[in-house]
Amino acid sequence: MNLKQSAISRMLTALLLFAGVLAACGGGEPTDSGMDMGSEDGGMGDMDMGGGDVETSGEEVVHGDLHISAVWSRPGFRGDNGAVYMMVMNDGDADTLIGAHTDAAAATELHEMTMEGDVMKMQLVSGGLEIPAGGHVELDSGGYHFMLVDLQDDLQPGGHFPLILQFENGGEVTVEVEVVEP
Amino acid sequence: MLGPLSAGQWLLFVGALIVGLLIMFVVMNNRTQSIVAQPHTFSGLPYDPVEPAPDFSLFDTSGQLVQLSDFRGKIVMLFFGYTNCPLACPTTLSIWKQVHQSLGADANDVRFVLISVDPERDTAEKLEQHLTIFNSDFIGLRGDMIDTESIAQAYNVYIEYEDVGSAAGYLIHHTALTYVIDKEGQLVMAFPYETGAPEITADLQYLIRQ
Repeated sequence: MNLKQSAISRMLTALLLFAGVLAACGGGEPTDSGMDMGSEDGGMGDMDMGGGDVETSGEEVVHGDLHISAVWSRPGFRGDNGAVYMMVMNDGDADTLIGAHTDAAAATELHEMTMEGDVMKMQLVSGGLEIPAGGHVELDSGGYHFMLVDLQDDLQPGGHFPLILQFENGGEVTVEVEVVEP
Repeated sequence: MLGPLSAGQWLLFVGALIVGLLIMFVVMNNRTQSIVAQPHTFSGLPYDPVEPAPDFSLFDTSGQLVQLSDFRGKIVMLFFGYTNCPLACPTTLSIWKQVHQSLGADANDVRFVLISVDPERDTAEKLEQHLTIFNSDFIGLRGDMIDTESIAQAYNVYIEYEDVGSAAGYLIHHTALTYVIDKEGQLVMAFPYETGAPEITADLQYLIRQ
C-alpha cells in the first residue's frame, strides 16, 4: 500500500468514526425527569400501603399457622389518635382477628374504612376480621386497620412499641409495631 | 506525507460526511419530537368547565385570618379532614409530603391546605402539631362550625359526625377528595383518595407551567 492509499484509508476510517460519533451524539434517550419516588427494593418487608411504598424491617412473627408481618404505624403526638397496619397470612384453618391491645394507647379498636363514592366512612368492626384458611388479610390504608385511641406518649419515627393481637383460635400474640416516617 | 486526493476520494469524503450528518439529524429530530409537549392528560377528575373556587375566610394556626384569594398566583391543594382521623387524612398528608419532595423548587408554587372539619377538637395548636408530622409548610385552617359547614357545602364536601361507639368519641365521615385550584383561583380538578404521588406531581408541574 503506497502512502496515498494509506492516507485515504486513514481518512475514511476517521470519517466513519466521525459519522458514528455524530449519530451517537444525536441519539440517546432524553434524560429522565428524575421522578423516582425513592421506593427501595431492598427489604423483604416492602409493602404498598397506599400512599407509596413503606419499608419495614421485613420481620415476621410466626404464631402457629399465622404469619404476621409489616406491622407499622405513623408517628404521632401524645393525645392524638393513630392507626396500625399489618399483613396477616394464614397457612392453616380459618381464624378470626378479634382485637388488639397496647399500652401505647388508651384503647385499641378494629375499624373498617369504606369508600362510598368519594366519601370516606369509618366503622367499628364488632365481629372481628376473618382470615380465611390458606388466605391472608391486609390491614392498610384502604380498609381495615387498628385505631389507636389517645396515644399515651409521642410515637417517634424509628421507634417501636408492642401490640398484643387476639385471635379467636390462635390466642394472643405480641408483635412489635414499627413507627415509620411518612 | 499525505498526497492530494483525487476527485473520487473527495466525493467519498463528502458522502460520508453527509451520511453522518443525516443520521444525526434524523435521530435528533425523533428525540426532539418526543420532548415537544404532548397534550397533558390529568390523573385527577377534571372540572368541566372549570369554575371559580368558592372563596373562604378561615384562621391559620397562628390565628391569622386567611382567605383563599390570598393564594392567587399559587396552585392550591385543598383537603377537608381532621387530626383525629386515623386513616384517610394521614394517608393523604403522607402522599402530599412525597409530592412536596418530588416538586423540589416547584413546591414554592404550591400551597398545601388542610381545612379542619372538626374545629371543636382541632385547636390551632393541635392542628399545627399534627401537620409537623408531615411537612411544616402545610397550612392548617379552621373556623367555627357554621363557617366550616358552609364552606364544606360550597365545595360539595359531605361531612357526617357519628358516634360509632368508639373510645375516640365521634368519628367523621367525609369526602376524601383533594381539590386543586389553579393560579387564577379556578377549581380545575379533584384527586380521588390515594391518587399516587407521581401522578399528582406530574399534574401540578403541568399547572405550574400554564
